[in-house]
Amino acid sequence: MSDPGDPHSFLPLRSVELDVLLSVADRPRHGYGILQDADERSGGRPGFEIPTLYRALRRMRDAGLIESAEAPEEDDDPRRNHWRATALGRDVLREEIRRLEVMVAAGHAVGAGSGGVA
Amino acid sequence: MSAPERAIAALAGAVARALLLLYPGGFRRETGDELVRDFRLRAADRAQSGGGVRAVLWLCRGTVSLVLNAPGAWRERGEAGGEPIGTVGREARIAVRGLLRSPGFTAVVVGTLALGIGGTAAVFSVVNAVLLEPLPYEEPDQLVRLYQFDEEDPATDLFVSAPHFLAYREQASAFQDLVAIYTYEETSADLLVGERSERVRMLRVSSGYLRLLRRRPVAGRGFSREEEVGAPVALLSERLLDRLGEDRAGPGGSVELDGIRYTVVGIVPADLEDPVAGWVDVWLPLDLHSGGAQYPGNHYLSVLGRRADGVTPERAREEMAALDRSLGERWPDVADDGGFRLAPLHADLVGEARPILLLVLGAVGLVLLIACVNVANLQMVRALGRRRELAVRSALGGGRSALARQLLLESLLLALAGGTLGVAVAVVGVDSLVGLAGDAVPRSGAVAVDGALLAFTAAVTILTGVAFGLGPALALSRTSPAATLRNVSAGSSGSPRYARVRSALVTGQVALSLVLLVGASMLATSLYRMTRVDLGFEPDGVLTFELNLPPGRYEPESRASFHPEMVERLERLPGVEAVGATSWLPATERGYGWGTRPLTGPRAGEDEALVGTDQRIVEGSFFEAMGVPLLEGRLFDSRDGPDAQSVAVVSREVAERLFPGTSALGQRIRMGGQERDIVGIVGEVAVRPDGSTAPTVYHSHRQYADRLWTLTYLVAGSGEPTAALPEVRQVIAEADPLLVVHAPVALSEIVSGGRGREQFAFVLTGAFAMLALILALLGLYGVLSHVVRRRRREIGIRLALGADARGVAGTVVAHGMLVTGAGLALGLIGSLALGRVLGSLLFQTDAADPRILLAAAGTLVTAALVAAGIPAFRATTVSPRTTLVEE
Repeated sequence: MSDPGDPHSFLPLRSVELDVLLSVADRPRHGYGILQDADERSGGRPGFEIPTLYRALRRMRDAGLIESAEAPEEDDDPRRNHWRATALGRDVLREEIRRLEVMVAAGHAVGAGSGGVA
Repeated sequence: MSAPERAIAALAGAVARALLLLYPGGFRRETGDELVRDFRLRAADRAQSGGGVRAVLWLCRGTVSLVLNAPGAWRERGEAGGEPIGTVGREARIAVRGLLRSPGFTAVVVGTLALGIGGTAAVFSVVNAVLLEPLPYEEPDQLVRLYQFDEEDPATDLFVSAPHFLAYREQASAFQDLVAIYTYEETSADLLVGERSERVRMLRVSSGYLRLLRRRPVAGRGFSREEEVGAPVALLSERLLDRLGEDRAGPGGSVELDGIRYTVVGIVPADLEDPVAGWVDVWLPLDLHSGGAQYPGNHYLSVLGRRADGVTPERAREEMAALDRSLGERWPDVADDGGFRLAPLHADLVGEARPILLLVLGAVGLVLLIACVNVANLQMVRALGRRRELAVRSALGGGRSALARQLLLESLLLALAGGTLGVAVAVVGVDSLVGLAGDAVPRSGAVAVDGALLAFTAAVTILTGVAFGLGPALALSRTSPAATLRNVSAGSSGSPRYARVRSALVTGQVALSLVLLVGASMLATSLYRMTRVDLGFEPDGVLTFELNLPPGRYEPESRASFHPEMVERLERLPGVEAVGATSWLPATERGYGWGTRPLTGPRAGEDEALVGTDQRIVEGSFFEAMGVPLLEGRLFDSRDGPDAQSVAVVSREVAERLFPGTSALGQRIRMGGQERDIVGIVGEVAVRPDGSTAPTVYHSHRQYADRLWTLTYLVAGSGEPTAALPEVRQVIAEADPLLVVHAPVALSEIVSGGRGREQFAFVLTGAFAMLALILALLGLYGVLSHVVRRRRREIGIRLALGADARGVAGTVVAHGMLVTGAGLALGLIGSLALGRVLGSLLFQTDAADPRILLAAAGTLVTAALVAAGIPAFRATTVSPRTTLVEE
């Protein structure tokens, strides 16, 4: 069980959870909006399906990483359930990105990825 | 949203709603509506952006995800408090035990589903790989094929001439790559490997070939523009190098092909498959500047192009049209220059196979439908038998949703077992299909058991389980528990209403079976007629093989004299009656098509006196070996040498069309830049396996040996064609040990191989029809048995009162015939519709032929009588005393 006081205890995030946090860190979104955001980020292959997403949303709400939110003014469907990251959620996201940066640097060092020596 | 999009969205929503039953109540209440709505939205999105098929494929994935996430949802809920964890596991165990208690039911359902699902998945796999999978090149949508066409016959695609190709390549900016390849005929060459020769597949291409396909050579480079003069350089395939083992030749090395040395300049990756020519071993550069390449009217190149990034097909077409017009002005005398056509490459390659594959997909879909109906029937009977149990559970407060969940679980487990077994059936099925199909289906190398197959199987499995398990069961569970418990006669199972529903289902099955039977019969008749068609020659008892005389070792004179000598030597072998050789075998749809004009006679000088003819270069006793009749004049003989007058033998149609009303003998004709005097007229010979003929001009090889012709030998004799093969090889080896006797095969096999497509369609449809018939009969038997069981008491009473046992049996059979008859009527309508659909695949067979319909219906009725007979007989054995005592 993750310790609500310690963001590190949530790492490593499942990839769907990372996608959710990336989508709701700075603005509230509803479920389908999160899916579309992940679509854009990944060029059409988000890596998770709708059931996985909704299960993750409940799990993350129970764990305190996200919370219900009001729909923003310009949203297309204000009746839907919107989500936004909590402070804990933003902390966890930050720690996960740091963890991934370490991985990316290691990858470049062995010649993988676009930033490395070809 | 368009109608199909709405339909798919609705389907998605229904599936999601049904499968949500697998989730804990809390999840359903809080997230259910939104999840269902998003399912519909996603399905509609996919349909809009990628078409119906992509949407269905996504739905498969989504369905699988729904099922796979359910256990996790339960686990997480258990952790957060609420219902105890493991509820799903316990319920699943209960469901399994329940199924094991009725082993017969479970076995039949699982078996039926396995066959239906497995068969559908196998066919879908093939259709997916051939029709849906994009070509294995980068950005395959940019690839097109370019054809020219004749003004007078715009519907027929022609190859492209070299001057046209060069002009297009230089000036068309709509294309980033334009490449010409030579696929006019399949070319092979003899590769010298150590002491022996091996036949390899060869393809001549222009420069930029690898760039078009976006592949880099494994080593070295591709051809350059300067080498487009037939330069002695070559690209080898990695596959060829692997096959040759230590005889490796890398860039800088050289190989000897057909006696000529070529410098290897590059190695091509092993997995590169040419889109048109398939697996090639050696690539050589085309000669685009000398000989036949200089004439804009000489069409022989296949041109492939890649549209430039951002250029739409319309823009490409417009630019090419403008370019083509200006070329028309540059070369005003070109006869065949009607214009060009751009075809998306994928559609171009698989177009012909589409109707067959869709037919087969339709047929197997019908079988799956029948299988599902059978399963539904069985489920319904079982649920009927368990009404009391269900009523008790419901009364004890299990809750409707718990009940529904259990029933759903049972259905899912059955479907899962059936689907798993179905995967095994599918794997075997895919292999069999590809083996059966052979050349009838292009790109069969791309077919494999893959993710799409498994996803499809899983989705169909789940959908089947949901649709046919939940429906009837839920309906039954809605009956008031009290009323059910009060019903004393627990032995009888079901009210008349359910029996009527089941009968209706069987009627549907009978109808579907009839459609399939009729389809199979039509295809069988068509195939049979094809085998009986008169081909104009005798295919039996003839051995054929290709013999290539490498230009590096044989000059035209030695080629000209080699063949008559070889023919003579072969004719001396025991059992051999006649030996001939020809450039192209008949009935294989291959040949050279040239326009032929009369230079003398009544139509000489007429502009329209031009007939498209097939050219054949022959040697030896070709006509005798093939059994082609001589109608007038003479055949080629020893007079017709290279220094003698140039002569030709023509088919009757040529004589009639070019020299009407007079004898064609002694007249002169011109084709392909050659002039010939006609010395003989022979009967028509089929150019296609269905017996259709084309006007043909025959040339003597000795008078045409300056051009390279690889001749196919025909050895006609008594006995098994291939029995003479070892002696033939010996005779040839004595003349030249480095010659390759290539592809020795009986002529009759080649001819029957040309019917591959029709054979494939027939075998499959026939198999499905048999399967459908069996399933329908099982269904009929099940319904009638059920009727007999239900009315045992009534039957017992009637028998006790002195009714004739035969009369009772007759009632049962009559019921069966009523159901069958209704099914036949429905099926008849379906069959007529099918006939229209099958149209293009049928040969000389009328789709509405009443004899076929009668035969199929007759078969069904006979089988149905047998299926009805067994329960009818059992009805007569009901002992009145036993049934009365039972109550």
